[in-house]
Amino acid sequence: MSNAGAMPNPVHVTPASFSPRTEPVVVRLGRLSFEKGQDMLLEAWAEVAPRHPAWRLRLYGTGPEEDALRRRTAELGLDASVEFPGATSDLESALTGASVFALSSREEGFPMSIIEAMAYGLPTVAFDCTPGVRELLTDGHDGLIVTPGNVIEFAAALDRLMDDGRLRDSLGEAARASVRRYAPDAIIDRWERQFALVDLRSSTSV
Amino acid sequence: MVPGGETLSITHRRAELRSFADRLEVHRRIDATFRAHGATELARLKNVKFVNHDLLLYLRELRGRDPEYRGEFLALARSYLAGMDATVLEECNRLPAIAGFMIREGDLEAAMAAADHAPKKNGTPTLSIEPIEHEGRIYWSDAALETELGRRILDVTDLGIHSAPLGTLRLGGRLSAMRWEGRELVLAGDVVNPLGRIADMEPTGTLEIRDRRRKDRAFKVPATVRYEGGRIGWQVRFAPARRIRPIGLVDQTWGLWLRVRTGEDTITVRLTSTGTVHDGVAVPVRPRLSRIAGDRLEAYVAESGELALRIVGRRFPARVTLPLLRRAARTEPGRTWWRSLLRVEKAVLRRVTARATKIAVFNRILVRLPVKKGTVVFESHLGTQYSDNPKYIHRELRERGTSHQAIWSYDKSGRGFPEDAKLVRRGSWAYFHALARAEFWVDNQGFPARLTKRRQTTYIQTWHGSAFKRMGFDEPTVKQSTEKEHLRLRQMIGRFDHFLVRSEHDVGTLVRGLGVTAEPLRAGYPRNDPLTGGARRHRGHAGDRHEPRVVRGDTGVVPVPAGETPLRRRRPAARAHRRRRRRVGVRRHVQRRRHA
Repeated sequence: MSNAGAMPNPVHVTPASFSPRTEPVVVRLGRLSFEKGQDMLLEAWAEVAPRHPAWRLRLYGTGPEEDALRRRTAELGLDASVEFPGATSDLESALTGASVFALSSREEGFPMSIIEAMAYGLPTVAFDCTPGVRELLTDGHDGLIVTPGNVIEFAAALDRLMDDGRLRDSLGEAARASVRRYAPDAIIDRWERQFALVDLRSSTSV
Repeated sequence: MVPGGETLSITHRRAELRSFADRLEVHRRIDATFRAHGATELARLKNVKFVNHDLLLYLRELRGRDPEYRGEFLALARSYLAGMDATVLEECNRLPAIAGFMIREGDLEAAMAAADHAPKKNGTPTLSIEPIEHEGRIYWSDAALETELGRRILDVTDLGIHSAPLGTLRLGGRLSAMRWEGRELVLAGDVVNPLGRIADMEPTGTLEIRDRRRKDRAFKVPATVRYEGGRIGWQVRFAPARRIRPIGLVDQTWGLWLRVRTGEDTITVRLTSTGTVHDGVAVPVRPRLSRIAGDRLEAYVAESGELALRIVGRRFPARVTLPLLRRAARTEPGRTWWRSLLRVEKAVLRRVTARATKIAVFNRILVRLPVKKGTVVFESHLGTQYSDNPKYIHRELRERGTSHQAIWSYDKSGRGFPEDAKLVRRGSWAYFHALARAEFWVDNQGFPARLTKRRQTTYIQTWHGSAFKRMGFDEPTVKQSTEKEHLRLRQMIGRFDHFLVRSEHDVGTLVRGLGVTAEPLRAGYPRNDPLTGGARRHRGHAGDRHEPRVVRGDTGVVPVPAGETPLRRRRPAARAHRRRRRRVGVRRHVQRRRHA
């Protein structure tokens, strides 16, 4: 398969501003559904929240699991620190208003939400639920990758970032730099090169 | 060459002696050519190939040939091998070499036995000769112990016939009588007893008449097995028309096998017939497809050497219809139709015995049967053991002399399970039937998922140990799994009516992690009873010998290695990893029971 390759989607956001990573907020954007795993995120949050009373978990989105998630939040006694602001189209203020991005999904393809978070300079904590996660992030360099389903590890990773502003900054800046691989110009160049190659081959073979 | 054509080439007509004679002639001419060119090394290699391949090819089928053929075959082979340098045999494979050697000695039976022990690939070797012991070594035969070469070739010590567990040997048996006594057919014969290893004076046995195309289908007839000096004699007497009910057409040949139980072992015996006792005995049979599919069974020795029965048509209508049906089956459309029929049959069989079918029948039909009051189905670790809490509940019931009927589920073998209980194999129809009608289910891991528990049945989940790790829905692998998998687990656990716990630790870990909805039964584990107050009563039970007795006041603390987690099948690598961890003792379960 040496002739096979994958062409990633480009970053589709052009940030006007970046996250200062000072707001005590962990953010998750996504449909509230089973496969997005917000229930696991709540359990992880229950482990860290008591140590960080100033911090908030913001779960953007709506979906079939909303009622169950709100109930679970109450059960875990997290009403004070978890917010459900509903769906938003204003990605920029959602991401710049937070310091950590949490990808808690059970299944994903090539998660665009990680690309978005990286573009706004957010460090990500993600379950290793798809090869796409490792394609986008390098564990310990521009994000933290956790064994799928291991809530304790996920909580520990959040804890590290919430404790350490300098770690957030270094991961966030590295994320901003590394996501440039997916800048529209870079991806368009790759397409151009690819078409040129195909064109070259077809003209020589005729 | 036309495979399966009307006239096969002579090399493919091995039933004709000329095939072998011609082959030998070819070999002789090759020998002459090699000699003329002085190619001694090539000649040697060719001879090795002759013994390993050509000779064995004919020998394997020799049991099915008539005595005349065998006599002439021996003469031909012997004369050719006599002209060969005997040291060639040392370069041959072991069993073909023995066969070649024994033919030179004129002992055809020992040569055929060597071929029996060297079946075509994927075959199981059959030991149909009694090897002898001489000065601490085991030899195939005592024919040539005085010569150095004979001892080297016939030494079979490292086949392990003297040491292999009896149950792993497949032995050869013979038919020496087949006759009618009134309406009953009597078959009799003997079985080899290698090195006298079958020493049990009262072996028992079963004659199995096996469908040669379907592994697991067999009619069984009890056999009398007698220990007669060194040899084992067997006899069966039965009314065949009643015992043997083939379908017809799809199952035209049936192999005869003997299963001999001696002590702890069950030995499979391949039966054959070297004589002519089986000739001419026609056994009436009534196929389920009626008599147009045949009316008699006749005995023959199959190519594999096994004694077998095949369906034939002797009288009207089968005499006419069976050949017609067979001819029709050989035409191209017939063949296609036939193949699809076999495929459908296989699919139906697979479907009927599938677990999913059984579960569906359980949920829709079996659960409507009336509950049998007082029946308890016990299961420990998915049927692998008679152990743990279910065992001690069973014992307690017995000691109190209650009238409960105990049914134990076992996986693979029922050995070691109590004799006063009815045994059902896990996953069998009997198992599902017992579960459907039971008043109580008692286990420590989980009865098959997707079985619906009826209201009238009480499920007592006794569990098998403490959680020092995350359990159930707290396990990352479970957490990560799909919604369907979550539902399945929830359904499985939702069936519990009572969940046995020993301490609040269990409530905080197991009950929480597994999401148990039943009220925890704070009664402690019955398996720990012998360690505390119950010890007096249970003292002397063999099962308690290895259990530590750490009794401190009224609290017992017993370290027990962690058990398998039943909720998900683990990958082998993960299992090995856990085993390693368990060996070094990283993970330990501590059981603690406060005795009331």
